[in-house]
Order: sequence, then C-alpha cells, then structure tokens
Amino acid sequence: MNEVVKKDILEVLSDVAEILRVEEEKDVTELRELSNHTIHNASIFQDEDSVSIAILIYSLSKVIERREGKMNYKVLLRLIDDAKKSLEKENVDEYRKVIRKLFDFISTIDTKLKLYIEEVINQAEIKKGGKLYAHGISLGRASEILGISQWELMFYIGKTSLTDVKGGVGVKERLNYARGLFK
Amino acid sequence: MKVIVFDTGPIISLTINNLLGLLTNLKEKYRGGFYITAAIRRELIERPLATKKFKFEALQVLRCINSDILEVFDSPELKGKTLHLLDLANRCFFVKDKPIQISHFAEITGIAASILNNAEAFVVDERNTRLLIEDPKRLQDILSKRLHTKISLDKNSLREFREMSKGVKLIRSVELVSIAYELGLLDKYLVNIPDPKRTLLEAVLWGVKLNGCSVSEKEIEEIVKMEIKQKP
Repeated sequence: MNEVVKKDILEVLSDVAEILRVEEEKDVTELRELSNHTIHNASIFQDEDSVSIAILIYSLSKVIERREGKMNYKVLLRLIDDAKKSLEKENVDEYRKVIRKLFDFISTIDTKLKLYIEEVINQAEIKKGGKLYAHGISLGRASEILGISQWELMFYIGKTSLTDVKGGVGVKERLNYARGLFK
Repeated sequence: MKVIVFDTGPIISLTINNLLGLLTNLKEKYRGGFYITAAIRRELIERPLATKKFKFEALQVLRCINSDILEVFDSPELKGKTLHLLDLANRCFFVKDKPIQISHFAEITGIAASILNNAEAFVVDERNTRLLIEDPKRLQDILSKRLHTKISLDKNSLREFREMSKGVKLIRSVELVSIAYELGLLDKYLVNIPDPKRTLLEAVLWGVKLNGCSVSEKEIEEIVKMEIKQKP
C-alpha cells in the first residue's frame, strides 16, 4: 500500500473511532463528511483501499441514520481498532480482511434491512463514483474503479451540477456542424 | 461510407429518455453508418444485463444493434490504436511524478474508431473525452482545483494525442435531439398547451442533461433561442 494512502486511511480510522466514541446525533453528518476524505487519493492512486474505506464510511453513516440509536457501536469500534492496528503493523492483508468483516457486519445487522443495505452500499459506490468524476476522472474510468455500470453513474451525475461544464467548442458552432451532417 | 461513431453516454441518455427510436430516423436522414465498438457495446449491454438495474434499457439498445441501426465496428488496428491513445491520454496529467489515469478503454475505442473510419463525428456526452480533445487546459484546471494540488502536463503526450485526434469532431446528444426537433421527428409530442414548441424542445434538452449529458444551463438556453428563431 502506498504510504500516502496508508497515512490517510489511518487518520480516517482514528477520526471514525473518535466520532463513534460517544453516540450523538451529529455522528451521521460527521461520518458522511469524512467519507470523502480519501477521494483525493482514490483519484490519484485509484487503489481499492482508498475507494473501499470511502464506501464503507458512507454506508455506515446511512445505516446508523436508519437504525436511529439502535446500533451496536462497541462491535464497530472493536473492528475499527483491529483495522487500525493491522495497518500500523503493515499487515495489509489482515487490514483488508477486517474491512471485509466491517462490510459483513453492517450487511447483517438486521435481516429485514438486507435489501436496504445492499442498496445503501450500491448508492455509496455511485456517490463515490460521482466524486471521482468531479475530481476529473472520466465517467468510464470512475465506473470501472467503483465496479458500477455507466448507466448508474450517468443517471446520478445528471442530477448534479457536474454536467455544467464550460470549455471546448461553442454551442453555436457545434450545433451548426451537427446540422450540416443531417442536411 | 459516411460514419458517425457513438460513445456509451449518448446512447444511455437517449434510451433513458425514451428517445432511442430517434436513431432510426436520424440514420435514414444521414444515409451513413452509426457505429459503436465492442467495448462500448459491453458497457451498454453486458454490464447492465449482469445487474438488477437498467436491464430493460440494455435490451432496448440490444434490439437497436440487432436491427443494424447501431453497428459494432471492429478492425485489426482498433485495439492497437486504442491502447496507444489510452496510454497517451493517461500520461497527459501528473501529480508529482505520478500520471493520473483519467480515461477508460471503452471511451478511447470510440476515438480510435472515429480516426480509423475518418468519421464525420464522434457523439460523446462525457466531459473528459470532450475536454481532452478540445480544451485540455480546462481539464488540467479541473484536476488541479479538485485535487488541491499542482497538476503538471506532459506536453509530448498531449501533443501526440491531439495530433492523432485532430480530425475528430465532437457532438453530443443535445445536438442530436436539437436536430431531431428541427427535422420534425418530435412533432408528435407537440400538444395543445401554451408555447408547445419551446416546451417540447426544453423538455428533450433537459431530459438528456438530467441523464448525464455534459451541457450547461446557459448552453441549453442558447440552443432554445437559436432553434425557436429558426423554427418559430
């Protein structure tokens, strides 16, 4: 794992632990903001670890929001601590295993929520794909990194301001050119 | 034969807006080929068919391919040219010593197919491909602003990329639906409401924008103004 990526993930894990130390209403907002912290690295290094931590934290914020105070923070904190320790010891394989355990944990919190959580994780992937696109990565490449289809990402991006792009050939010139093709 | 090459995005925008049928009429009017590549086909068909979402939309596009409205172009040179262009595109911008991989294979196959067919246009809704060809400085600015760091440019890679793609003319799905409007292909939607033409035009332009076509609100306003002036 790249040193910059590792340093940022460790920082993020410490911040998550700090947020979850005391259960508060603002946890959801703080986690959501934190979920974008590794997106810069994800844009530059395009590595699975920067991407997965961003998806995990965003999904976690949604699940906590949905569970309305009925979340077991103790298990989460233990797993986050395990992830941190593995990374500090340079044991990347173990770190990835713990991250998978965290995904498993939030996916099995409540069987009634199974479909909702699948959707949450999918939405988290799309949101982070949108962030990569905002950072200058192409739509196709962002979809590829997140493992989502371009259909999903385009559908999402269209509802944001990311399609308001300046630059390139002017609209009049482009329209005139297109008109000439279908004369 | 005259050719227009399509990227994934415009086909997605048209399909989600229930406007894919326009391609049949536009192709008749164009009297040439509408091409995609195998990699673009994979993004349009195989990926959504493997998931729960956009399956039906993928079937609509497949039907369009099976009826030869969209043809899948292949040639022995396509892969080599694509890989060369992709390598150049992904070596244009650097953070410190690290190149940023900004482009994807499928997008670049569209450019390569356009070059190999001497295509009259490459229809692309995606921002990066368009800026890379037309305004790379703007793309450098976006990267620099969003990544909060200095982005250096490999002038040699960019020069070679632009040299290879200099004949590629880009249009978007907004231009296609504007032309369809001009040609009267959307007239069945002119209904009994105040200002039906303007409403129809705004509806289709905003429809493609809201499904991912990179066009600004100001550009839409300009298109509406130009079209209404031409076809009051």
